[in-house]
Amino acid sequence: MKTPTFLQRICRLAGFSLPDVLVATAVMALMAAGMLTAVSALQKSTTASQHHATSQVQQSRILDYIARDLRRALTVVVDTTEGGERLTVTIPDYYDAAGKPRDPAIVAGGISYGAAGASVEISYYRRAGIFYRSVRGTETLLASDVAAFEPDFTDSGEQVVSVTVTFLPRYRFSVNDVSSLRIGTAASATTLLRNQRQ
Amino acid sequence: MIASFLNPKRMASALITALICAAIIAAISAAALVIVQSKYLAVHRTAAWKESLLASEAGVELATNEIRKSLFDPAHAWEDWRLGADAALFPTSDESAGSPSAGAHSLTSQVLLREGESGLRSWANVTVDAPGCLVDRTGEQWFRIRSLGVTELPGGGAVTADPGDIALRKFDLKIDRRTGQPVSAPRAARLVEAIVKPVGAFRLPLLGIISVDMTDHNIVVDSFDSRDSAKSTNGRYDPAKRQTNGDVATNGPLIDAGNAQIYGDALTNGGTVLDTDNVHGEIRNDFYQEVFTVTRPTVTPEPGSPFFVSGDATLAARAGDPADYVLSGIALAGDEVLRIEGAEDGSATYAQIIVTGNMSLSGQSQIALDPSVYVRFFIEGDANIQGQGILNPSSPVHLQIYGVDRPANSDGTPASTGSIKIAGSGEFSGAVYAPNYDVQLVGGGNTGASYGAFVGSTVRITGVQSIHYDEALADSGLISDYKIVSWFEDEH
Repeated sequence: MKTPTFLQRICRLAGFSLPDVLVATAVMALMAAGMLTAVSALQKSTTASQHHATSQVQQSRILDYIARDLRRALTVVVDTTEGGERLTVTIPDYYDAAGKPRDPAIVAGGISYGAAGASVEISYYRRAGIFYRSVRGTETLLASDVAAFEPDFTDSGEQVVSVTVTFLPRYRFSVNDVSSLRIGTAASATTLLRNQRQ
Repeated sequence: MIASFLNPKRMASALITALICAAIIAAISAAALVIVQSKYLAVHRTAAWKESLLASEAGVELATNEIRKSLFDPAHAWEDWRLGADAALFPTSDESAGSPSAGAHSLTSQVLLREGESGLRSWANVTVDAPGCLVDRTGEQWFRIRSLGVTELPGGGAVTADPGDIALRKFDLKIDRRTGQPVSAPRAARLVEAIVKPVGAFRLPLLGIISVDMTDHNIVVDSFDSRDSAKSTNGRYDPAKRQTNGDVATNGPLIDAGNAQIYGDALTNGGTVLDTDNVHGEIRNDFYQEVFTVTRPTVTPEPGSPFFVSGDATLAARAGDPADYVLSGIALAGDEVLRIEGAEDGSATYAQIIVTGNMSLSGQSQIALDPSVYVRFFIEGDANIQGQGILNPSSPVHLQIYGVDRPANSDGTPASTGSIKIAGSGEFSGAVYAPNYDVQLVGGGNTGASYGAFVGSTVRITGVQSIHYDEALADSGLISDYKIVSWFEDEH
């Protein structure tokens, strides 16, 4: 028998039979399918996480805005507008036209800034998926991605107001159990009304 | 072909490929790290922003406490505070005296290190001033507290937050946004302005330091406000406008409500309230009210004023600063009258009468106040007011009786309590503040109602009568405390 030359051995090693190629192709196809599925899931998870994080930032922003205004509120009213709850507070008219702090004045045994009885009205409400803070009728957008934000204001009629802001995550592990997801993403804050603790 | 397969250049391309892959992975990791770091900073800066409010409110409390010290511990008030203030924020013209009434006082609080989270520091810059716009109609000075709470920020001077958050949570990354001065380190700074007002001695209708005893009589305790036409008629009590601030309280453990009709709360200090069927407000046991020291005013008596009043006499009040009288005693009997004379035109006049001994009225005698006269009695002895009592045609605010503090035991309790007894046959309209005295309101003789407030070591009410608290008293009388009446956070 003739011994194969070096070149023949190399050529034999470098070659693949048809079954080799078929098996390899099948394995590669399975791996590719798995990779695609994993990447797709990862992308969804990343998007959901970013949305969740963004929503939490907006949630925190809304609560902090409301808490700041409640702390300095003179009056608090909770009513409804366009089917949602609206929180309206009045705060002292602390700034003059130039934006500088005014000096306080004693009026009827209390403190007033600016004209006697003057105050600034601030409202919080949601309309068409946008959460607004309105100061003297001028709206400021606080959070735009708030299709599922649900503010809940509980005025005890005494010295505190509780605020709950809930958002619905976009990812859903169960489309039939939306309420449980909302519970999991609700943030609440209770604020003492500093000007009504007398 | 063999040469091509074994070519070193082809083998080297694997290393390049590996380096490229490593670079891509590193870039992806860096991008992820930047995102995570940004959110991490945003979270911690939000925490620092909130903490600066805590520092600011702590500064308000520090300042309020110093103001209170001027009542309870004046020798140590404003220690460690400096006169003068940050001119850019709180301009003041007078830096010469030791009270905010004469110039702003300021304090930088001790630095508080936050455990963990980079050991960030917090402190408060507090200024207290007494501007002229904060003098009320009775001449009392209110105070303005401005407290800037500061907390250092983690993460250097980089801006990391969402624009929506920047509008809310303003940081001083390079300069102080209020003064324009550079800051040594990035920080969150929040400014709170609070207004503190003095509180009068008569905040409650009935306050017994030790106890209140209503002795099982059908007493009515309610309130009105002589300043408000919706709560009074011509400045007088009107049953149809009854208010429900007729609180009865004690620093001790016991109130015997005696089935009294109490249109207010019954408050004890960890004790009980007996016979509460007719208490219309809350019944609580978490009450305590600080008692301030009543000292004898140091005054120069009016020229020619009597030393002792034992017959018909007239003491003139005057406008502006009160007319001062120092008497060793008052003893009226028969139909003798001590008149406190006011202005003929009915304008407000004031008098301050210090009685170093006892005061007694018997028979049909009386002390009569002209309309619009404001009188303060300071009694060092005992007072037994019978006869026709003290006739005050005006609101209870016009007549205030103070029991000067008596010598105390080592534990601070009075060596002996004094006695103030009001049993005149006329209606009593006035207020009594005598925490070292046993205060008695006696019915039978005093057939009318009592309008005012009564504070004593013990308060005992006998006989059928009613007590109508004038809510205007809460803003009059000697200052017993200070409270915050306005709070505002500067959002700029």
